[in-house]
Amino acid sequence: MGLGTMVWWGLRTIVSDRRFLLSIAVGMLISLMTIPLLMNAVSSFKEGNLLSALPISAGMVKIAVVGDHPIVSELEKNSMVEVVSTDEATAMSLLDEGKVHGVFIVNSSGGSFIGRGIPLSNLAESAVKDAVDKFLRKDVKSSFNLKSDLGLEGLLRSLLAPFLMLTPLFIWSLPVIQSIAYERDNKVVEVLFATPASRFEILASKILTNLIFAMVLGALWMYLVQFFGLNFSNPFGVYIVLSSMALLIITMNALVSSIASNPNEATLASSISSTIIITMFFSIAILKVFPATEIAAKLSPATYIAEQVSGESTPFPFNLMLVIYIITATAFLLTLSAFSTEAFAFSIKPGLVQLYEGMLEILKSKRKAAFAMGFVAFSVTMPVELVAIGLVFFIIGPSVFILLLSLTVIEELLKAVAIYVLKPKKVKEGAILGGLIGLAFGVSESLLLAPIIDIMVLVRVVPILIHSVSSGIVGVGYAKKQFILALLIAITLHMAYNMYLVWQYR
Amino acid sequence: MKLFDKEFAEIIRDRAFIGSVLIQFITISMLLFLYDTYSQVMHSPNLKITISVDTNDSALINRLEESGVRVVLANESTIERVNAVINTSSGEIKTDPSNIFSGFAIAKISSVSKAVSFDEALEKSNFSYMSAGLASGNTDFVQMGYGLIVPMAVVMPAMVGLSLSIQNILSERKKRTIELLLVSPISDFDLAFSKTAPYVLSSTICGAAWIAVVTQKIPVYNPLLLVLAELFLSLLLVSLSVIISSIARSMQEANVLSSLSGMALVLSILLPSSSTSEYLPTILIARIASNYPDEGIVVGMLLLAVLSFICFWLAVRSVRRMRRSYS
Repeated sequence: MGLGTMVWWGLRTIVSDRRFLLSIAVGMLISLMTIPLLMNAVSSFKEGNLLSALPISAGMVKIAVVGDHPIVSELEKNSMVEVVSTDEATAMSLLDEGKVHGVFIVNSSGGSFIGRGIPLSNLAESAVKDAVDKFLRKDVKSSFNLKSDLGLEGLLRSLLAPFLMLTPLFIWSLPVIQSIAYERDNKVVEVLFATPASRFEILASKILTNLIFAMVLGALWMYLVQFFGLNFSNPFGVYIVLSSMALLIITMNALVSSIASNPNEATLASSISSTIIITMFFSIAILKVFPATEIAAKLSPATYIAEQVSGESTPFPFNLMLVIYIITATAFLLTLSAFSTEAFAFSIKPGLVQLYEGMLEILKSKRKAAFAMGFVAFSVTMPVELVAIGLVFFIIGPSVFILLLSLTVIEELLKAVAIYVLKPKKVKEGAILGGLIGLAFGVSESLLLAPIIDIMVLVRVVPILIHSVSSGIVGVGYAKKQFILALLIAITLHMAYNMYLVWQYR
Repeated sequence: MKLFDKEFAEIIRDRAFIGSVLIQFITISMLLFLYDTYSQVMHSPNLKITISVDTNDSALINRLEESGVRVVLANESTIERVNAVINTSSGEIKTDPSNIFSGFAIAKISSVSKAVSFDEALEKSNFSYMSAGLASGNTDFVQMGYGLIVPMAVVMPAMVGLSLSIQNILSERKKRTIELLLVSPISDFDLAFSKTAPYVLSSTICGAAWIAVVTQKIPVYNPLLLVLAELFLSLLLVSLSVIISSIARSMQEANVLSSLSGMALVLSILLPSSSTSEYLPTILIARIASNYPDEGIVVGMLLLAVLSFICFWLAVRSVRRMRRSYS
């Protein structure tokens, strides 16, 4: 049974599920409808705040008004505000009881606002100031007046476009979960393994099937969004980026489906991994705010799509493609390792250690496996570090030292797992294998952070060296049966370098 | 009750549930971090924004510089990247839409514009204005806090309940273990209750926890009413999961249908304002969090309760239909 036949059968299975296709169509329609709805909200929003135009802000603040003045009718026009006209004593009583967020006392010569000392009182006061401003400006020509939309429609379109283009990938990448996790659960996978097809072919057919499905939907999606106001300077470039992201998410879904112990876990883990991938790429896009790291933001598909929608003819992001394909390749290698373990066929969840052992079996060389494991360790590091950043910021706060320490520990631990699997017996072997793991890790990190490849070596040679040396130390430590001590030395060395960088760029 | 106890114990031990709780915690904490810290970043002197103005209006330039931005004149050459260009005669602002800094620049320009306009209007109209009793600190994102973060803290656990409940029922259908329950003398109501109540309870407990977390940063009105809203919303969505599980032919289809339910709930935020908008769950939650209980809130809660009980009744009927299909 060849690859082509398996792909054809896979596609037939997907297409024959009419209800699934109908659900996808409805999902796409709902997503498309959000574009004009959001644009409509933007076109009617009040200055400075998009939420003001949305019904979610309706009646958010209550203001007791004392006095009769035309400003009050201006205030009542604000949908965010509910006005209660009353006398001063009642108004102050309502304020004390918390039934209103503020009291506005107005007469012909002036007005005063009294709040409750809570943030909602500030919101109420800003609405009062808006109303006073609008009323008084009717007769007064302002020397400085901005157009009310502040150019936000264009900004919103370019922020919305990456979400609209990338989030449907979640649903388009679902069939691979069905084909791996459920076939494993139903024991169909054992039948497949009994055929002459290699495990590589079986896995590749499942991923290719889903990729073809996603690419067809992607082309349709690109065609439809232009009728809803999203046009791209280079539609073919955007399509390539979209398809590459689809391949990445499908491969990651295949990986988590292979290592999850049941289909339920596979579905949940797949949605988590897809969310983390998309969040990670959006987070990289934020690097554009700092001139020093703006060039690194080019590594985000969100940046490229936003630039395309805003009409900029930016060059095709080859560096981004390189990063995507490296992560995809490592995920594929890990999935193949999972497919090659007996634990996969018998629905026992293989851990990272078993996957590394699977890689060693496939590559048949400790040195090649060490290099591959370095890339894998880097791919695993990224989402783990993202979670760690969130936890550190919330629990401890923006402490640079704690943040760097947690990232350093994560990186060294994940590299150490690979050394643990390789089990070097001699000092020289430990140093070489550790060095190779660190080298691969450092090179992948450099590809992410130094997008100008031809100067990558010059800019990033020290970090690559640090990674190689620290992992080499752990490898030597393992061979000499001082694994924990070696790990602590590696963390200390790595942390010292990070603190040096912080001190240098302060 | 034994069936309920067993299901609840399974939920607590389920790694998928524990994982989802962790993810929810991270999401809420990152949103609160954004709410708290973004405002600090916005007013931080380290935030470097450069704005170009086409006129040497000293009042405007001084105000812009007081707000923390660097101002250059349009005819000056500068090596710095300009984040926004203001054309004072037409009132247009040009920004780089793909640069997230544009949002900061626009916000700064907007607040300066409002302040300049307000002070001018007061002076020229001879109208005095004063304020007191305002909260200190940065309150830039009050609407985001009450309009997005609080509803998210309530809706997320209910959505997770929907998803986990679907997985559970469909896997029982697949393994055919549900047939044992369907042929047993347990009533349709008890069976539907045992399948929904554990998820409703776990979602409500999570929702209550997230409301307590959110309250640390955002002072919320009516936390108990929010917990009640969480209970009704969870009942609504988990009952929906029973209905979806009974009609879906595959896990894939069920997952897509549950995703669509989530999308519809979020889409409700974007629908144009109408007389019924205030009774939509997400909008009702925002109002409960920000207001003293009033008629509108009471009516909204009653409607949500009625809708959730109707959904549960439909879930009971779905169980009956499942029974008939297996008999």
